Amino acid sequence: MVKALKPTIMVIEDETLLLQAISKKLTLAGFDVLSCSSGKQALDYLKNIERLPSIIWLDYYLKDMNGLDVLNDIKKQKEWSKIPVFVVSNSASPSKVHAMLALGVKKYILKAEFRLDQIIEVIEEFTSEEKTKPDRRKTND
Amino acid sequence: MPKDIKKLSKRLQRKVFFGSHEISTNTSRNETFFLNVFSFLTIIVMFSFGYLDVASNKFTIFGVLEMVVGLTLVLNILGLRLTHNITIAKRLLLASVLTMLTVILITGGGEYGGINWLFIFPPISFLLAGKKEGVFWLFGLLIAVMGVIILSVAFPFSSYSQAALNGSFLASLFAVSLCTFTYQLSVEKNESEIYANLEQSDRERRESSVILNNLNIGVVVVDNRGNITALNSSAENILRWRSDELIGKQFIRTIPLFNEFGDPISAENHPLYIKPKGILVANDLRIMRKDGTTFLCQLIGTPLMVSGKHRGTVSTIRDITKEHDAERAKTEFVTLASHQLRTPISAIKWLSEMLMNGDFGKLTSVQSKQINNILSSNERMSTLVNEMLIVANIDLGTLPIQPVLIDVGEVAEEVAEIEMNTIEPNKKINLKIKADKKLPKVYLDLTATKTILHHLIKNALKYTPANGHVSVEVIHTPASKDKHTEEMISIIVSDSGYGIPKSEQNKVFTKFFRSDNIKAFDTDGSGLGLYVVRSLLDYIGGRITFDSTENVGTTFVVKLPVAGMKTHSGHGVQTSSDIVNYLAETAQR
Repeated sequence: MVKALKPTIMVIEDETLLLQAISKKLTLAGFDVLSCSSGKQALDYLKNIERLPSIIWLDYYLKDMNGLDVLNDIKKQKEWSKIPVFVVSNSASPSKVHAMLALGVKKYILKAEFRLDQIIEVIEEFTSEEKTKPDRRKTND
Repeated sequence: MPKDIKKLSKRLQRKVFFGSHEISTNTSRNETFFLNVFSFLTIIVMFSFGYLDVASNKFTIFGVLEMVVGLTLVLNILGLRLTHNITIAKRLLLASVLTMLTVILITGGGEYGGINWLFIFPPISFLLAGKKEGVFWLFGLLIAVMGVIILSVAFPFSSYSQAALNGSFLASLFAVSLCTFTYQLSVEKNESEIYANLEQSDRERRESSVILNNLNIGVVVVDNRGNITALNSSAENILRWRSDELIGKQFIRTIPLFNEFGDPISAENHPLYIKPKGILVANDLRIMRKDGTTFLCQLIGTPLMVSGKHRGTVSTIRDITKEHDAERAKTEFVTLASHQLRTPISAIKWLSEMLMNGDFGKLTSVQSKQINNILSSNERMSTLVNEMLIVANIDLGTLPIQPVLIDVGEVAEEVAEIEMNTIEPNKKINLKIKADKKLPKVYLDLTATKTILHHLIKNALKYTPANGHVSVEVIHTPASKDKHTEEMISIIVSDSGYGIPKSEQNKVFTKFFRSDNIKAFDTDGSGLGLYVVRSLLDYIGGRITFDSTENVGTTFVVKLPVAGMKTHSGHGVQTSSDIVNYLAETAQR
């Protein structure tokens, strides 16, 4: 049942310590992790990367821009807009949360109220649901 | 008090009879009465004597003249009493004195000129009433009278002259002088006291006015019809109106008032229009200045009661813009700080969790026990930050409140189940949840309702000893037909716990309150729970009451208005999972 290709998850989080912890935990859970410590870095990655990530883990408060801006940029590109986004954050006002959910964010998760493995469970649940559907991931030849 | 001062100053202005003194008839009510009776008695006696003379067929010029003297004195007293016209009184007195002198001159003191004359002088001295100068004036009169008598004896003008009677007449004059002098001394003593009082009240008045005008707080006085009667210079500065432009005008029509949301306050709801039964404090009002700008103020109205009757209201107006801004800055700082705290809390949480999981290698049992301690301490910090955030957002008015259809009974069960899992496993508590069978779904904010239930149930479970009882009851009260009472959801949480000591019951809803009897055995707890509950209820328009007896138990009763839960858009930064869930639901619609 083990797939040859691990699902890739892009983690955008500006706190290095948190980024390391998330990456480690996700790797242990069997994901390929693309760590980005800023919004700009993440967008650059998306532009130049050969294989787009299957999931994006986005923090709202980033040093260079906020999650909503990143999300807007992602949604502008047709290919990128198909990637499911999970926002994991502490610092967004309800109106921002609402805006992000309206832009098609799969789930907004409050960082301080969830354990890491709970968040990963939520993501895994989502990916297993997705597996039953036809693979929409873009593969470059 | 001002009335008395007015009276006194009127007296001061009145020109006074004979002499340069400023105060005239400063007699007390009893004295005035006594003197009036005495004067009129005198006049009656004088009249009677004159009449007797006429009636007993001894019609003499003396008898007639005696009646004339009496008549002039009547007019004299009436003139002074009724018209307060000193000129008339002066002339009348002069007339009566002249008549008297003529009588004496013609009769030589007369048949009845003896002790009877004594009655004339008290009214005279009363009219002179005042200073010692009056006595000198009277002595002058006596000397004149004596001169006339001596003249009439030495050069008899009349066959009626009788020297013996003249002797007794003189004796009576001296007696009168003595009485007058004593009386006037006492009058003068009263007068100096009144002067002292006047001076003191004048000084006090000046002091008060200096204090009032130098106060940083605007003071406006209105009468019981709402007309402005006085204001201090701070009020002039704050309102930018001059006092002469405001005095006599209706406060509520001239100075527009708005609530904190900027809606105008109508006359019926005006804090000063409603006659306050006690002191009224209205915070966060906006007052419009003369130039149309507004400022945030605190208005305190104190009823002005004079001998049990409401005579108006003294209101103080304080510009609270600066302190409001400072308070806001402080709360915003707390919000920001709490947010900044959330990131390291998350890091501690996640890293400890990974350590526990063995993600960084296997731990010994001692190590994992300590990591567990770190986790639970971190959890407490996280809770505290959440509570502080809620409080800060309530204070800022930015906590979002969005009523949705919920079944409070179900919510109570859900919360109670979660809370039951947090107590020590070996502590047995009998928890009962009762909800009205026909409990309808009502529009309430889910997060607020959950937060309130969470704190009340958590406290009940925590502060009830093992084998105790906790009950949660949800009651729905429909609006009464006369709309007197609105539709309500009541949540009653009672326990058989430690209770709150009577002496501390007034502090229950204050920030960081923890009662002494539980602090002794339980060190865990922020003291924010009930404060959060109370603040939330204030915010959404609910009420909370409680009843507690130490070592018997506590019952909290929360009343939530179904229709009246205020909606707040909430631009705040606080989010919780419930809010997120709600937002997710609405976003999908």
